[in-house]
Amino acid sequence: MSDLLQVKNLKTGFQTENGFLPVVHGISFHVNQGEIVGLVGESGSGKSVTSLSIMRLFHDTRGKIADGEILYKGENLLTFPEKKMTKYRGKELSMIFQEPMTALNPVLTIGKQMRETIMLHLGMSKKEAHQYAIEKLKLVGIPRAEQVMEDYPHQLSGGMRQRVIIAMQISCNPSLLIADEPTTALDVTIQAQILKLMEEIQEKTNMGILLITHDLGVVAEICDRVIVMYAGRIVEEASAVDLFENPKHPYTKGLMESAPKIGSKKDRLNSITGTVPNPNNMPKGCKFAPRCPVAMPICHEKEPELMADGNHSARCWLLDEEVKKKEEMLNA
Amino acid sequence: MRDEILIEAKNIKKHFPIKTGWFEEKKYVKAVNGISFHIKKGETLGLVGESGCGKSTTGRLLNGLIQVDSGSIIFNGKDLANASKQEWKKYRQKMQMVFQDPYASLSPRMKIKDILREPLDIHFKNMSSREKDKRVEDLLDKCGISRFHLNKYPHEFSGGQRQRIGIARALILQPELIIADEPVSALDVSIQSQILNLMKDLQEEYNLTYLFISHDLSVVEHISDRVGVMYFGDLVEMGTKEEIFNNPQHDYTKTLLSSIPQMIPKARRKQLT
Repeated sequence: MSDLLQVKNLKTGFQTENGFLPVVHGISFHVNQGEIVGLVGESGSGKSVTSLSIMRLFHDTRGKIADGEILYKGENLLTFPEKKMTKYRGKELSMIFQEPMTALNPVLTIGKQMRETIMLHLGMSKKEAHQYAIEKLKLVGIPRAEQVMEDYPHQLSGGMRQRVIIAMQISCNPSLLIADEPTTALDVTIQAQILKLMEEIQEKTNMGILLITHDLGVVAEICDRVIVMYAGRIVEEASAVDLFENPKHPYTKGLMESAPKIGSKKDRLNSITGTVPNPNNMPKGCKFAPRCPVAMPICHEKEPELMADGNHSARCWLLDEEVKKKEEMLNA
Repeated sequence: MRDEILIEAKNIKKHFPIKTGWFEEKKYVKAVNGISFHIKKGETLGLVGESGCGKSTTGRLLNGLIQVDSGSIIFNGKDLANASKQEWKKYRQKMQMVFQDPYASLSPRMKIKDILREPLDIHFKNMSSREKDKRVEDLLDKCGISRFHLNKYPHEFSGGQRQRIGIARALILQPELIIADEPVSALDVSIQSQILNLMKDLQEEYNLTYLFISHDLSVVEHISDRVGVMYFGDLVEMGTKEEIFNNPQHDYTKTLLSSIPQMIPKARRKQLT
């Protein structure tokens, strides 16, 4: 199996007073070595829960992985004892979080925080780790890296902090990097720099990156393949080119049309009506049907499967030939 | 009508002191460093810039939430620099704000009905209770919130709905100018477009003037007639949106524009270059 990460039928949810509340409903996808995969969705679509499940940072709280497998280089992470998982986190798979302000410990110097990971995972001495950390800081484009090692997080700007975090996360040469909204808290000019940096590092190290974001612009900027999530399900999956040039799911189309585009003469935006359904009260059929502009009667009754056409798949009845024929006959 | 100036800022300045030691020289953050602009009746002026550039401070200076250090603000031909508290109260009725965070800007302990009635109770003491109720209901309707929700509390609403309520609260006093500080930044794209459409509809219906503050250039381009670009307390460029977006003059504007992610996939972009 050449896949770096393979998620199979992952079901995750929360333990509540009224029983188990599923948030991610059996999703399957993979990330190859040397590939940047975008996981897109709005708040509440289950994208962050998915990433936390992969890192197994979801267990302790009220979250629970109910079913499925997460295969990393063929090994199921979910069966690992916690000790083994700790060894993998940071070394094999590592994660960048959204808030560069809170991901670093405010009372420790950058140097101390960077050395800690390196000494733990690579078994270096303090002195070696120090030199090694400086190299990594230089790699992510931090000027005067020696000095930054002595700085505390509050002495750095948001963009700088995110660079430090990236340096830290790639310091042990992980094969898989999960980046959860890495640029959302940053200004556009800084965002452009960080995205470029991630792309460069990916090319240098050939790692696989799973980029979680709500911003389709960011996806287009650096992703090779895209997975669109809605209400805890994958609704579309395709190469970035196919997705942007030929989106198949009405939700994906809606998302693209909702974003204002510079230079467009349109006075009004085509918005998607309504809001994301509440996990307590999901519609019966297709979860997008209540907001869908082209919903048919069957959409409200039965949930469609993910239908594949080559490497492009979407969860929509419109792609089912039989349903489509029936619909046309009814309309004729 | 369209060329009439509603509000004008002349060389306004605001420097915030930074705490330093007793004997050290006093230092200041030059949040707004002597900028001038005007907004015409019925138009939307977009103010863009990155965090810390002074765009929010500018918005707050205009409606007197922060006092200017120097310079003047002229609203409907009246200089507000020396206005008394009483007079400010009168002016603020005509200029209302919409804030960024719909979770923090509505009091969690007040019902929607009361949130919207409070401004009326303060500014329209002579209005009958029934009239007030009617105005609240009508406006909520226009903003897309059903009247069944009148007795609910803010936590019962989603982010988009809360922003609709925030907009309704700003409009309840029938203001002329709305200062909207990042009104859609906290919302998902699909909701963001609903709110932008709503703001455009309301502008047409009530002939509103907007100062639209945002860091998001594509949103600003969509909603504005004219755009000002701020950088470290200065207004570095100002023009119609066509001028700014098609033919930017200042280097900073050019950098900003080239940083916006385009919806063109990486593989295609590489073919183009």
